[in-house]
Amino acid sequence: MIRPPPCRLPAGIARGLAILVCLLACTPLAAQPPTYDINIRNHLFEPAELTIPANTKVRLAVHNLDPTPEEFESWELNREKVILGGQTATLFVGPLPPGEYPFFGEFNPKTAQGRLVVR
Amino acid sequence: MNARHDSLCRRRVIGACTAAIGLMVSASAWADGAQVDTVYHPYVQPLERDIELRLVSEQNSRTRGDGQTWRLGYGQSFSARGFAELYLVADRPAGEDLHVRAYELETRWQLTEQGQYAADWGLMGEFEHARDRDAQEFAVTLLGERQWGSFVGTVNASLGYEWGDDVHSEVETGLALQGAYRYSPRLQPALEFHAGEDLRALGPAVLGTERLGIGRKLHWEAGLAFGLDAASPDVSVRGKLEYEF
Repeated sequence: MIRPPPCRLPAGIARGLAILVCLLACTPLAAQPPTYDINIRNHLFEPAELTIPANTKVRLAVHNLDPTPEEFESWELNREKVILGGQTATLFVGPLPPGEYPFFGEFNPKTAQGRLVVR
Repeated sequence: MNARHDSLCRRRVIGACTAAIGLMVSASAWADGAQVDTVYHPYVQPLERDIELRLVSEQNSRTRGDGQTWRLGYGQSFSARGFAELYLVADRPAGEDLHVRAYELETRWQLTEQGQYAADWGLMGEFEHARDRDAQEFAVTLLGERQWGSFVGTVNASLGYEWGDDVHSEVETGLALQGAYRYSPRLQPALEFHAGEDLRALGPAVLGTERLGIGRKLHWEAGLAFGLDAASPDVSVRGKLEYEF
C-alpha cells in the first residue's frame, strides 16, 4: 500500500509558531504583588501622595467614585488607563527605583494630580 | 493525488494553527509582497476613538517598482479590552492615480494588564477584502511589549492566509520588531526591523504624541527602512498620524 507523504508544516508557519511559542514561554507567572488603593472623588486623587516600596512590583486599585470617566496618566510610570465612572481599574507598576513619579487625571488635569513616592 | 494531498495537508495545517492560536486573527500588509508598516502595541483603552492616516512609500529599483499605499481608518473601542478599526486602503503605483484597492477590518484585544507579567500581550485580527478583484486575506498577529527602564521593545508576529481567484492562495508570516527610547512624550527615537514575504528591512523611526486638549491627542510616527536583501524594496518610508479623541 502506498502511503501518502506525511503532513509537514510549511517552513513559514513553523517559524511563525516557533516565534509565538518562544514569546509566550518568556512570560513567567508572577506572584500577586501588594495592593494599594487610590480613590478618585470630585476629580481628585485620594491620597494624592502614595508611598510604595522600592524595587517592588505593586498593584494599584484605582476606584473612580465619580460618575464621569477619568484617565490615570503618567509618562514617568509609562501608564495610561481610562477608568469609567463608578468602576475600578487595576494597574501594575514597578519594580521602581527610589524617586517621585507624578501622575494626573487626563480628563481633569487641573485638579486630579498625584504622585507615587518610591522609598 | 500528491497535489490533492498537499492541499489537504495545507488545510489541516491551517486549521490546526488557527485552532491552536485560538481567536487570533490579523496580519500586517496585503500579501504578495509584505510592506513595512506601523508596529502595533498591545494596549486598548475604554472610550478610545481615533482617526488614522498612514502612508507607506516604497522605492524599489529591482523588482516591485515604486509605489505608495495609503490607509485611512476610523476606530473605537467596543469594550474595556477590545478595539475595532475600519480602513480604506488605497494604492498609488508609480505614474498612476490613487485608487481605493481594499477594505480592511481590524480588531485588537488586550490580553494582559500592562506591567502584570514580564511582558504585556495583545492579539490583533485583520480581514482584508479587495474592492475590484477576488482576493481576501485573514490573519492573526500576536502583539508583545516589554519595558526595560527607558527602553521599550515591541514585537508583532503574524500568521495569515490569503485566497481568491485573483491571488495566489497561500499562508504568510510576518514579523516586526521595534525598540524605542522613551526620551519624552513628544519624541521617542526607535529602531525597527520588518520581515515578511520578499521583505527584510531595518531602519530608524521616530514616534511622538502631542496633547491637543482634554482627551485629545495627536500621535505621529515616521520611519525609514532599508532593504537587507535583493528581494526587499531599496527603501521604504512610512508615516502615521493618529488623532485620538
